[in-house]
Amino acid sequence: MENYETSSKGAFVLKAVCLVMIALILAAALRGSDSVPGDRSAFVDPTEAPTQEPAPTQPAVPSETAFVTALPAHTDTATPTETASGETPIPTETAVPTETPVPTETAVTTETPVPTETPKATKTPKPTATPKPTNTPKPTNTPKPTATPKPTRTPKPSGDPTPTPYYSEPPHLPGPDVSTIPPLTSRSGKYHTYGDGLNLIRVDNSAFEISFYVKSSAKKYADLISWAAEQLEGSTNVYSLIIPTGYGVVLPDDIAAQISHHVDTEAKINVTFSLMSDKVIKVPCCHDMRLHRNEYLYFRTDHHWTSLGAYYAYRAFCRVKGIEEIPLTARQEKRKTGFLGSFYRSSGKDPALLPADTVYLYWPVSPNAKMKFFTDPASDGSHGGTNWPIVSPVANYNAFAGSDNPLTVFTNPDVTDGSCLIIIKESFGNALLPFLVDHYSKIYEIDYRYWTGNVLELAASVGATDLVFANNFAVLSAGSKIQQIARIVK
Amino acid sequence: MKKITAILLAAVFALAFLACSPKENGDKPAAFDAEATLNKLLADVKYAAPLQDVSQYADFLFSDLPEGTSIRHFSAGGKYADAVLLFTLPDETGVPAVKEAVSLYLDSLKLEAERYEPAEASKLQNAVIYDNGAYLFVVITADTQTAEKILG
Repeated sequence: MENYETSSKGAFVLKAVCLVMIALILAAALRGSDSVPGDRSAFVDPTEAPTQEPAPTQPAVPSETAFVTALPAHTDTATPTETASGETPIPTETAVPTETPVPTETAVTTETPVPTETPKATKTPKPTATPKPTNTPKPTNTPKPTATPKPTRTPKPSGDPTPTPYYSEPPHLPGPDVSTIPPLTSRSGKYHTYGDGLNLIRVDNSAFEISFYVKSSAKKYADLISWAAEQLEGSTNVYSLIIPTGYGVVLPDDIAAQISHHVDTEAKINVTFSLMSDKVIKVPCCHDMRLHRNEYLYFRTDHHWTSLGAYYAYRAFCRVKGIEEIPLTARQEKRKTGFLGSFYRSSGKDPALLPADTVYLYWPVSPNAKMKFFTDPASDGSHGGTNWPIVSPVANYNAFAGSDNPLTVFTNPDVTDGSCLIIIKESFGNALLPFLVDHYSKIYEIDYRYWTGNVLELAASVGATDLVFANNFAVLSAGSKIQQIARIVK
Repeated sequence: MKKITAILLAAVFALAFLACSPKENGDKPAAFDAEATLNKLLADVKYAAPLQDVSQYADFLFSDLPEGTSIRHFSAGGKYADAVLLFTLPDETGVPAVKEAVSLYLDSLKLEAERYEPAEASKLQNAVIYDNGAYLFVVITADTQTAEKILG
């Protein structure tokens, strides 16, 4: 078929050329001119000019193109080695956690002494009645995302080669509990974009990825979680913990007001919760996080949340489940500076994002808790596996739970009630594990992107008491992610 | 003499013109066999890992496709982006809408790949998209040459 098309196109061009040549030759011959084809004097003779035919136009190029190269506009990607997330997805058995080189600062590690009185790991009582998400607005018609959504009213880049010379890291420890969401205002009052195809913006020295919401996708996600809850009713409690990204929590209010089709993340999470069955226990962590949005909840140079961000989600989970959380102050803390993450790479290493982030690490309080990861996508965790520290002292997001592996199993002999959690997550979930491990005898952490087993079968075989879907907000607009979850659930 | 040469040249071009004209019945394309093309794509193109038929989950992939559109989906899964998708539409008027949805889909996968599996990003960047009538193929592979050869 393509041969036919190609030959047709070729013939068309050739025919056009022939016609033009014939016309020219005949015109020249009839005029008795001495010029022959190729002699351009026939076209430039001023005496002939008024009677000349208009110059023939080029044959139209067929507009139909059989092949389309996807995403042609997006060419400013760095080389794979540069874009390779500083995260080693699957560490090997012999691998030693490495640190991301620090371009501008020397990594400094400070240790906080381990608290002398380690709080006892708590038992896991039955969950209390599910609190209804607060501030649930009515579902609204959400505009569909476009291929390259562009924020409107984009101010021109300042052109100032010197990055804003300030950096004040917000508090990394929990602030006092408040009942109202604190306002946030940017310093510059404007945002910077990074070109077509990237939904990345920079506000002062923080990067954000613009969030979208597709209600029809969110409905599919909600139906899927509901279906799992129906199947596991009576045996396993099913929780939904939708994790907001930095855009939905710490984007300054004055910038949110400038972005067209700005999505209110908390409202959309609540809409999604409302689409779920009553059998799903909802964890409205977004609201908890927004109450503390003036703290260091998200990295400025990476798309992930910090330990503190994860801590607030963990705290919300504990409240919903009816267990007492173990505070950060009771945990061993370490600080690693010099983290430059995915946003920094995607921005083409925008110096305005410097200096680098700091990774705060908090260890579980259970001294005997251990983890093992499995690289076999079909593993059920019963054989093999690689021992790995639950928290690694590295200056990147790999620090938490050995990064992304198909399956990771945590055992905590300090919790003796036989409680068992299965958590379905992508990378955001990793930072929750150092907190959750203190509350369960066993945890199966499944990365739905890599694991190929069946969650319901696993839940039955290991006697899971809880199943948590801890997925970040982006899943609600990404059918590919929902499909991946469906493949291990249904 | 030059006049005669010119007339002869004109005659030559006229003959060439006639020679290029398609025959009345000879060059008509054969009807497009989407199923055979799909099978050939699955059999002949090289993929990073064996493709699994995950068509039963294809409904989760896209929202708001033209009504009546069905999807066949074969995916390597895991850390590999390799996949083949065949969209069958009720008629070709819906193809632009499906192409737009596919573009968004690839965009989202590419962003994910750049963060977690950078080696896969180029496959998504160079995904082969081909439509014929009411059919649309998407082939994600490093072996684009074979895919393009089969499709065209």
